Amino acid sequence: MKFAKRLVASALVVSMLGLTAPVQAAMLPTDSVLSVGQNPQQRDAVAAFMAREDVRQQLQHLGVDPQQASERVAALSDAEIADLNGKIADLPAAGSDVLGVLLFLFILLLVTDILGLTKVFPFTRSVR
Amino acid sequence: MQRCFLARQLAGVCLLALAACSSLEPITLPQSLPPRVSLPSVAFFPQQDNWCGPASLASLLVHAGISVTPEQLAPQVFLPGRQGALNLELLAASRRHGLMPYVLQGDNNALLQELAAGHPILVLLDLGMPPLSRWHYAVLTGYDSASREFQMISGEQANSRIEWAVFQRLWARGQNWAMLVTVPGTLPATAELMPLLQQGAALEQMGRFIDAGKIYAAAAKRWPQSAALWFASGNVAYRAGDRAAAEARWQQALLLDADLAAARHNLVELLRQQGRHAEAARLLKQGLLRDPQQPLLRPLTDSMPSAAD
Repeated sequence: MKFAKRLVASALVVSMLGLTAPVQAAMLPTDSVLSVGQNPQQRDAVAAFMAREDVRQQLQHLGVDPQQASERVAALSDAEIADLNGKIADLPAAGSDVLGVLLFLFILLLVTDILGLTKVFPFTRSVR
Repeated sequence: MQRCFLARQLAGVCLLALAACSSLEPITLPQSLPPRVSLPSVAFFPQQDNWCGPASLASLLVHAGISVTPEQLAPQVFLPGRQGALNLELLAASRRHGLMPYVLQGDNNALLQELAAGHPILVLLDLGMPPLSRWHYAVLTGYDSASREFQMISGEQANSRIEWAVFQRLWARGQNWAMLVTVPGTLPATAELMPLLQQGAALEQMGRFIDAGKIYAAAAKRWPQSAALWFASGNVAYRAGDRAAAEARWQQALLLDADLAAARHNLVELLRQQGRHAEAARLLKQGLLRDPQQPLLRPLTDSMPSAAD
C-alpha cells in the first residue's frame, strides 16, 4: 500500500515536471518572413485563433452551414482571415449580372419622368 | 431646394465619373504578344440565380483539370446572406481543390500576357456605379487587338464581347481584381515572388506541404537568389521529415542573406534536435554578433547560455 502511494506520487511529480519544463521552441513558419514589420515571435497565436473563430461565426451568421463554415475558414490563410474579419458585410460580394426588379423600375420611371411621359418622383423635371 | 441639392450631387457624380474615365490609360498591346488570342476550350456553365462566383470559378478549375460543377462549388463560396461570393473565398476554394490561386499584380498588360499564356482569368467587375454597385464575376477567355475587345464568359453568355475601354471602367471599379489558377508547380506568366510565397504559405497553413513545395521548387528556378524562397522550401522539407534537405536549404538561405533570422532560428533548432549543440551555439552566436537584440534569436539563448557571451 505504502509502495503504491509512493509510486503514484512519483508518477505525479514526473508528470508535473514535464508540464513545467520549458516548451521546446517551434519552427518558424514561412509566413514569418512575409509580414514585414511584424515580429513572428510576438504574434499572438491566441488572437489568430480567435480571429479565425470570429470569421467562422460571421460566415455562419450569413447562412453558411456550420460544417462548411469550418472547412471554408480552414482554407484561408492567417493574412486572409485578418483581411476578412469584421468586413464580410462590406466587401464586394459578386452575385447577379441582372439588375434587380425594383432598381430597374426606379430607373425606368426616372427616365420616363425626365422624358415627360410620367411624373412619379417629386424631384424630376421634364425636358419637354 | 431639394432639386438644387440633387442637381449638385448629380453634377458631382458626373464629374467624378469623368475624372475616372479620363485617368485610365488606353490598353496597348505589347509587341511580344499575338494580335489575337482565344481559349475556346474553357468550360462554360450558364449562371443560375446569383451564382456568378461558383460558375466562373468552375470554368477556371475545370480548365486546370479539376472535375467540378458550380453546384459543388456553391457551398464552398456562396454567401446566402450577401447573395454573392467574396474574392478571398474564391482563392480558398481553389486551394481546397489542390490548385494554386494567384491574384494578378499588374494592370491591363498582365491580363493580355496571361491570356496569351493560355490562362483564363476571373475578373471582378462593377456593372453599376458606386452608389448602385452591381458586383459581378466574369471569365476572360481571349482578346482581339484589331477590334479592341475582350472575349469573356459572363452570366448566361458563353461568348460575350466587351470593348477594352468599357471593360477598363468596370474593372477599375472592381479595384482591378483578377485571379487565375494553376496546377502547383506551374507558374503564371506574370508571377512575382512575394505573392507566390504568400500562396505557398497559405497552402502550408492548410497542411498541403507537397503542393507548397512544388510552388517553391518552380519559383527557385526563376529566383535562385531568393533567401526567403530557400527558407520556405527548407520548411516544407522539414515538414516532410527530410531533415538533411531542410538543413541544406536553410544553410543556403543564410548564405544568401545572413540576416534572415527566421532561417537561422530554424537551423539552430534543427541542430539542437539532432544533438549537435556546439554547431547550434556557434550558429546562434554568429547571428547575435550581427544583431545582439535580434528578437527571433535572443529567446534561444535561454537554453543555450554559451551562445550569449
